[in-house]
Amino acid sequence: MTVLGVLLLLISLGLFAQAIYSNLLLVYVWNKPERVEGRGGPESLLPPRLRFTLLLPARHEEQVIAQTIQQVARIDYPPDLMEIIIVCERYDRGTIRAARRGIRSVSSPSSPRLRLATFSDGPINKPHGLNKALQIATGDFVGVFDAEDDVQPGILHKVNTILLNEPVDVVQGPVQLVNHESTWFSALNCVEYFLWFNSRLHHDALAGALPLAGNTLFVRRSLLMKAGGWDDRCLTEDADLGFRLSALGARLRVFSSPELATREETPLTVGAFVRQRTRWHQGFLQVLKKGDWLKMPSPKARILALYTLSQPFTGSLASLLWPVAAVMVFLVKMPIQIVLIAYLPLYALLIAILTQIVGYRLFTEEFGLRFRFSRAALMAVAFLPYTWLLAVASVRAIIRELRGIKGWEKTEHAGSHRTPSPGARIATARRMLSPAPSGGKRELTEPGSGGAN
Amino acid sequence: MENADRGAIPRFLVPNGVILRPLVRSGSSALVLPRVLLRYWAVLTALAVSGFAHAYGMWSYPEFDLDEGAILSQAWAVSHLGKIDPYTYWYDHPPLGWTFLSPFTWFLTKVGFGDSALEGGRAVMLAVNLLTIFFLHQIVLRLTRSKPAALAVALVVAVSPLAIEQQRMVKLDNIATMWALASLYLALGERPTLNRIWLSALALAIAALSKEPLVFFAPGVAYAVAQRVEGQRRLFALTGWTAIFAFTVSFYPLLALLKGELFPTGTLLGGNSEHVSLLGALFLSDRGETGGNPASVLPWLSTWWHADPLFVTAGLCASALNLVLAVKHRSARLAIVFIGPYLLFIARGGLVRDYWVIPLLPALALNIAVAAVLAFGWLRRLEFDVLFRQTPVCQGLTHLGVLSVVAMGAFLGANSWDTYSAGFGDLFHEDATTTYTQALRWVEKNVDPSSMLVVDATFWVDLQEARSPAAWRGIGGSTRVYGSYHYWIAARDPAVKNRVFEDDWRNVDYLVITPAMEYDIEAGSVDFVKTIVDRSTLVAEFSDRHYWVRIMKVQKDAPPVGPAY
Repeated sequence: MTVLGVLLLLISLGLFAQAIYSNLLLVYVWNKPERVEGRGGPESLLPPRLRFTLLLPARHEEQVIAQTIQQVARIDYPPDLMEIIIVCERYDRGTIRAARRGIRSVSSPSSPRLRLATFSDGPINKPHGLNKALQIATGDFVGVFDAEDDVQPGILHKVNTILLNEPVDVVQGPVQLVNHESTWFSALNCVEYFLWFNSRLHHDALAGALPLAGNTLFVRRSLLMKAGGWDDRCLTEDADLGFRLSALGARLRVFSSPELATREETPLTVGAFVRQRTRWHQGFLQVLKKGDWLKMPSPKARILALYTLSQPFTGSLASLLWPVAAVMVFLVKMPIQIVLIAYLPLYALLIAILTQIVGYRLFTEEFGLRFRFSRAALMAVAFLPYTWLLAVASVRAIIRELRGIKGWEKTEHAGSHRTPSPGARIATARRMLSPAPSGGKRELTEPGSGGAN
Repeated sequence: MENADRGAIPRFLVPNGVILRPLVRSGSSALVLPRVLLRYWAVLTALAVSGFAHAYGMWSYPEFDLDEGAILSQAWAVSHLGKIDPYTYWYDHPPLGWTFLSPFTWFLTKVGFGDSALEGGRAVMLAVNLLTIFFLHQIVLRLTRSKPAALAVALVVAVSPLAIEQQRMVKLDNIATMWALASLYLALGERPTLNRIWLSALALAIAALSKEPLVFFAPGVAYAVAQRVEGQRRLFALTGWTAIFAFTVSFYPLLALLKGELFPTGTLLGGNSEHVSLLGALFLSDRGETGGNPASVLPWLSTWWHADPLFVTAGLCASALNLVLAVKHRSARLAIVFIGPYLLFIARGGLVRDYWVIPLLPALALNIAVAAVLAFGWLRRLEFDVLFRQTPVCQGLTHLGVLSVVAMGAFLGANSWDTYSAGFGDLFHEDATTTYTQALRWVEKNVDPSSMLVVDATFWVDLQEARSPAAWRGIGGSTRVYGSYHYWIAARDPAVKNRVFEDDWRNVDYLVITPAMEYDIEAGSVDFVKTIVDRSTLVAEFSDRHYWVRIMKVQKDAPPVGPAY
């Protein structure tokens, strides 16, 4: 066997193993019926008892922050058990004004305690703001939402019940991108979130290596203090926090239900998407380098953490090697057995595409959206190019990290997730009360990874 | 310690001073065996009966078949040469069946098991059969939830003379059937996990890649998946099952495509150079010799029926009944969807072989179990006084129906006594293989290892084993390697006929002829072999009432003569 033959064999088997393992994790929850039944958490809710502090970090969010404050303030939970802290940089006057307007609009004797916290020291970013807010937080548990989030009113009741029922320290709630028809890659992006929050994170929580998302997470305040809050030098401070808490032996819990999912939007241009993923991938590199994941108690958790943190790069390498393997199959003369094995990655790719399409069917079904075969067909065609975008982001992340460029790349949002889709059946009433923003472009500066990679 | 021993039993229920211990603890292995026996007595009984009926006399009856030799030759090529066929692989069947067989036969040959490679092959078939019976028992148990039904049909197959005879032989169908049943067993779990569903798809793909007609069980297993997996998981399960099954099976045409052997010679995509082809083997060979008449299955049905009339009649009647019951009952629907496509396949009007009944046997048994359980359930629910209050016509028809079944059973039983006693007599007492072994020993002892032999496939593996490994090199290539060659290959494979024998009968030294080989010689299928026979003389002959072997030496200097035998 030639060197090329051995190389092709190794590439093929590696690609195949990576793709199959990754797929198994994506369908982890559907593997067993009891997992599907249990993924939404307890059905019957316990009376509210725990006290929550909800943090709302915002920068240059004057267009939406007032509306988000109104949404969060209307969460269905006793006001005396809920505290909301909006965190802004001191000189971000537009956001501060809008936040004050929002606070005034909901202030009443029956509203929860709302506070505006400002800070002037650096670095000016989301984790730093969160740390400042943490210092004045008083709740038993600290929750985080982003300024553009569509927060569901029933979320705290569910989290309260889980925390009372089960001995856990960290609860990660569901987050979902919903504007699946905005661009050619939106549906793939939405399904990525759907499979990540509905399946993959459930697996990771049980394995004890949970990369937390940037919002809809709830952490025991004492534990958060013990962990030293968020790392304000890390581009994915959320995933980093998850791994550090995992290393501290925190008991982790994930639940997912469409009714309670915090809705977000996909980036609306390829550039915005690549910049967002570059930041996430670079953040994962930073977390990998920091090595906190090595302190996780079990070897299984450490291996999973290593896999998760390196997945953007192994996955990207895989997506770039697919065409190479395909060309080699035709160009390099080698024994038939090797050629047959070289076809394994192609089959794995087809299985990955089928997983995406089935995921898309379930996603549209659960979120009351319209499933279109033409969109599913587009997903099949777009899958490989989509993974190439991720590969580009990985390469950029590596270059930026090598050059020591640590600044945030901004993600643009248009609020398209707040536009009710025809047939949407969830949370429409709340949307009617809170009209969607104009759809104009704005910038987000916080480095939350949103959890999916 | 005391509390731990008492487990969940409240303390007030335990008399003072008494320490409760579980019946079986990890340390007390003495109780494990009785517990296992007690718990699994039914399946163990079925396995014991089946194992005995299969094993007792399996090396003596039936006589060794050409196909058994061919399959073992291919298994030998996998384990000794790293190839899927010792000669040109012509897509007779997909290669996984003998690839599965090869490590076992390799091991048995290595330890010197039995008098011949065929005996080793049949020993592997015993294990395959036990697994088949196990899966059948578990499938029926899971489908009907009736322990008596599961045990009964497992025993029916275990003691069926038709089943025993076919299952003893080294046939790809036996291996493939085991995989197909494993597939259904995996799909029929209680709320099966997706991992089980993937494995089920893989198992059925292995079945189809062991023997291609087993692909017709795909609708049945897929339907079982659809029945057993509910809600959101069903979409994942069915998509994944279909994808894994289809992708795995597609490796077979992919292999042919990559070798440039998918399309037959003379077609647009096949080109004009002479080559073997998968599609040619599947559709254009002798499989269409019956001219598309579905009645072509009837002679075989009659053969199978004569071998085991009660089982075949009950199975077909139960399948027909399930077709009716399928309207209302899920289990009947599954049973009929499982057997239906394969039945339609063998009744398609193409070529049918006697051993194609092998996959049908457990499928028929499954149908018997389902129909019987449903019928007994119906009878149990029936209030007999209501029955008698019905109109005289209804009463009459009911009585007539029950009487007909009883009478038919009695009639068949009485009339088939001789059939069964003869069948069991052959299976357990007849010796149909000693002749073969004697002939093999004679060749090993009297024929020079550097001779060129043209043989029946049953002799091939042992004659190869008798040579040094150095002599194996080059088998299947175009160079001349001293050794034995399948007569069919010698006559029909251009690589062997033209390059090894140079199309010259003088390059052959001996012929080992059996009834199957003679049949093909007389049918004119192997002219080159006939030419050699015409120039040979008989040097040894072995025979019994089932089988004979003639060993002929080629007279290289003799002028052409007439048939020498």
